[in-house]
Order: sequence, then C-alpha cells, then structure tokens
Amino acid sequence: MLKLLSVESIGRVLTGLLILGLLVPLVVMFIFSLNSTNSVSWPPAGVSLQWYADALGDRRLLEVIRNSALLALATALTSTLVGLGAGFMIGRSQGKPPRIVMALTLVPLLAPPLLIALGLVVLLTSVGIRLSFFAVWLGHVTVTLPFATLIIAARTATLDRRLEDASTDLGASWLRTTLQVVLPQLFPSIRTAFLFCFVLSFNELVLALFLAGPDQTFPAFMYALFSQVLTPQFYAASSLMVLIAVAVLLFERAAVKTLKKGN
Amino acid sequence: MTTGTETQVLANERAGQRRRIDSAVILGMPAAAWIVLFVLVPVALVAVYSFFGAQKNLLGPFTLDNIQAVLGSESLRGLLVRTAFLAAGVTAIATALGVPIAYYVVRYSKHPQLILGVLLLPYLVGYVPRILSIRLTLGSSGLAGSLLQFVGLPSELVSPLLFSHAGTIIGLLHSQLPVIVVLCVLAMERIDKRLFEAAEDLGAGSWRIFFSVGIPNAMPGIAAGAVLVFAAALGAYVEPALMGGANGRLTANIVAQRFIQFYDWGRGGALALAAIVMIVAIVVAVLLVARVVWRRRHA
Repeated sequence: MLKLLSVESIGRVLTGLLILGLLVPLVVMFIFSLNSTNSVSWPPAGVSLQWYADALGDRRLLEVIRNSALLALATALTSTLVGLGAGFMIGRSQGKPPRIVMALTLVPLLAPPLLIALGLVVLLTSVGIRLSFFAVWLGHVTVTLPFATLIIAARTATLDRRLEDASTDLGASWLRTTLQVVLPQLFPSIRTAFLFCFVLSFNELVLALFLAGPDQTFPAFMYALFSQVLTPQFYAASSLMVLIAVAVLLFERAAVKTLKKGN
Repeated sequence: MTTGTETQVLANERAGQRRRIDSAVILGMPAAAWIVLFVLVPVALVAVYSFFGAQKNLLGPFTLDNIQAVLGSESLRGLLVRTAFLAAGVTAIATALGVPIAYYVVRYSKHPQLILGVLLLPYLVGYVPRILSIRLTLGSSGLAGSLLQFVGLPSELVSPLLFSHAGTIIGLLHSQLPVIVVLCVLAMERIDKRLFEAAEDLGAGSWRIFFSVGIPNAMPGIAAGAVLVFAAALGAYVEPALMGGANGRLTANIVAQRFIQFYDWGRGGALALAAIVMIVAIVVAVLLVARVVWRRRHA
C-alpha cells in the first residue's frame, strides 16, 4: 500500500495518463482518417487511403500547403539567423546587455498570440502596409525567435573557449575562427532551431488568421473548415500535419544519434 | 621588466576580451530591435488606442471613456472575471499535475528523452489537429459517444465535456501541460543529485524529498511555467472559439470581435489592456516574490 502511494508510482501514473491524453486523440484521428467509410463509429469499417488521395487531389489544399511551407521556410531562415546572433550573445557575454536581450526574448512567449496579432494589425495599418504573407512572416519570426535564441544560447554556454583561444593563438583570423571553430560546434543547435521554427510556423494559426489578409495558410484554411461538416478528408489533411511534426522529431533524434556516434 | 610585460599581456588580453564582448553585444541587437518593433510597439499601440481611440479607429483626444465603458459594463466585467478564474484554474491544474510528472521524468523515468519528445508533439502540431482530434475523441458523435452507445448508454453522457468551459479547459490543458512539464524538467535536471542522495541517507521518505528538496530547488522553473500557462490561458482565443460552445467566448474572442468586426479599437483596446495588466501584474508579483526569497536565502 505504501509502495502504491509513493511519489514514483503516482508520478508514473500521472505521466502515463498525460501521454495517453496527448496521444490517444491523435491516434484516434489517424485511425479515422484511414477509415473506408466516413462515419466515426467504433470499430472502423475498413482500411483505405481514399481520404488522403482526396486531400492530396484537392488543388486548393495543395496550394495552401505550399504557401505555408514557403512561409515556414522564410520564417525559419530569418529566426535562426537573428536568433543565432542573440543566442550567441546571451550564451557568451556577461553583464547587462545579455540580460536585457534575454528579458526581451521572453516577451513574445508571455504575450498571447492574439495580442501580438492585433497589435501588428494596428501597427501595419497605421503605417499603411497592407496585410499579407509579409505581415504573417513578421509575426511568425516574432513568436519563433525566442525558441531559436534559447536553443542556441543553451549550446553556446557549453562551448569550450579554449578552442577559440587556440585557434587565435595559431594565427587564425577572427572570421576564420568563427567559421571553422565556432559555427561547426553550434551547427547541431542551429539545425534544431531551424527545424523547430519551421514546424511552429508551418502549424501556427492565430497570427496567420489575422495577419494574412487575402492570403491563406494551411492551418487558417483548416480552421475555416471547422464551421462546416467535418469530413474524413479533413482528418486526413490534419493527420498530415501531425505526420510532418513526427517526422521532424524522429529526424532530430536520428541526427543527434548519428552525431553522438560520430564523436 | 618581467612584471611589466606580464601586465602588458594581461591588459592586452583584457582589451581583447572586451572587444570580443562588445562585438557579441552587436550580434544581439537585431533580435532586440525586432522584439521592440514587432511586439512591444504593437502591444503598446493597442494600449494607446484604449486612451485615444474614438469610434471607427480614429485617434481622438485623450479620453477615459473606453476604460470606463469596459469597467462600467457588467457583462464585460463578468467576462474579465470569468477569463481570469478560468486561467487561474487551468494554471492550478497544470501545476498540480505538471510538477509531479516532471519530477517522475527526471528522477525515475528510464526514457526521459522519449517522454519529452512525446510531450513536444502536441505543441508542434498546432491547434488544428489538436482540437480536431479531441473533438473526434470526446464528442458525443465521436469515439466516446459511439463507445457509450456500444455499451448501451446514451451518447449524450459525454456532451458536457465539449462546447462548454470544460471543453476550453481540456483544450488548454492539452496544449499547456507540456509547457510546464518541460520547464520543470529543465529546472529539476539542474538540481545537484547529491542533495537527493543526502536526503535519502538521512532517512527522508520519497514525499518528504519531493516537497523539501525537489520542489524548492525547482521553484524558478515551476514559477516560470505557471506564469507562461496563465498568460496563455488568459489570452486563449482558439480553444474558447472551437471548444467553448455558444456561451464559452472569453476576453480574447471579444477583443478580436471588437477589433476586426466592429473596428472599435478604443473599446477593444481597453479590454485588451485589462488582460495585459493582469499578465504584467502576475509577472511582477512572481518576480517580487522570487527576489524576496533569493534575498532571504543569501542573507
């Protein structure tokens, strides 16, 4: 009895319940996206890929997926580049400036996305910029920047300074030291930051909803479908979003493992 | 002479270091400028409109009309109170569940990386699959409903779970529990393992160690996680819209409606300002408490 009520067993039960709560709905949706009929009654009637074929045959859907992919690419490139500078600074410098940048970095995490979205609507319309993917890109870089910065800052803090000192002592220029000593060490965290920003931007909904103007992203397109009758084609498209995220997570794990083996 | 050269070398080194630090500071400037321009300025503009906004998005003279209108309206006051209570409730549940889960992951789990990967997934997939899949699972016309019918019970038994405040809470927990767990895990991983060993050697039980070693030492992470969850719940827009039902709309939904549908940036801004004030108040309160605790510990 005492054993049953230990921190370990209660922690295990809660962790198990959380994982079930997080994964069961996604698995259920995936199962129904493979269902051969369009009902959601249990058990499913049979297996079929027709809803995926339908989804991928929908030209509008493919168009918004392409839109979101391009937007996510632009966002991830910008965020990773800007976050690389900020992350390196936070991980390396001492004193006030890095603490100020760190505090600023946390602001987009605290501000609700809706508030950032409406604020950008007000700002952009005030200066006469029309809402479009450009506005969404501004917003997406803003909300993904903290993740890129924090991921790269964490890695920078663990770098061995002596390697850079050795490089400088051996006569390498500042630029060469940066390119051949610092960046290769930071590369795994740069890749993680890029992938994380890409997936976050690809799936982001609130900013895309308010800032896109006439343009439409994949999640915003799906959001509009919520007010209609839900179809298995919708489950299939939504499962695709999940599969992309899973693929990225698995790729990350595989990449980290390969790197560890290489070292 | 030797000491002179040494001093010279040290001075050179220090100058070199300072130069390196200065150049690093420049690297942080684009990020700082981006956040000031595209977060602080826009949010400040929203607040400005609550003091100067007249009808139809025009800037008028300074006025407290919008603030008074929001605070004077019983329905809007009720909306703010409801939102705050719901956010506090979600934060309390997420903290009560998230802290022991993080503790389990760090101290006992054999596959912490795998668990963290699973926790990250809902965060990465975004709102659409998350909410769609919850509706599909818990809805009376979804899996739960058809399972109830299968065992001979009315499928409507599960309907209070969705399209009510309960639905909003479930949706928010689904997205926010992983956030607080991950932050607590990061904080607990940094606790010196020897503290746990010492407590065990001195005969403390597992609960005693959890409450006297685990929680106090992970407090910064727990507080940060709780603040993030509270802010996210207070500004929640999608969950109340898609899972809250007809009467489930919260502050963010009304703010968005005022801004986008009615172009009433004055009243919308005043309502948003109330939410901003609540978030800032919580952050400041937590920072003040943290400072007092820190001072007491290092006194």
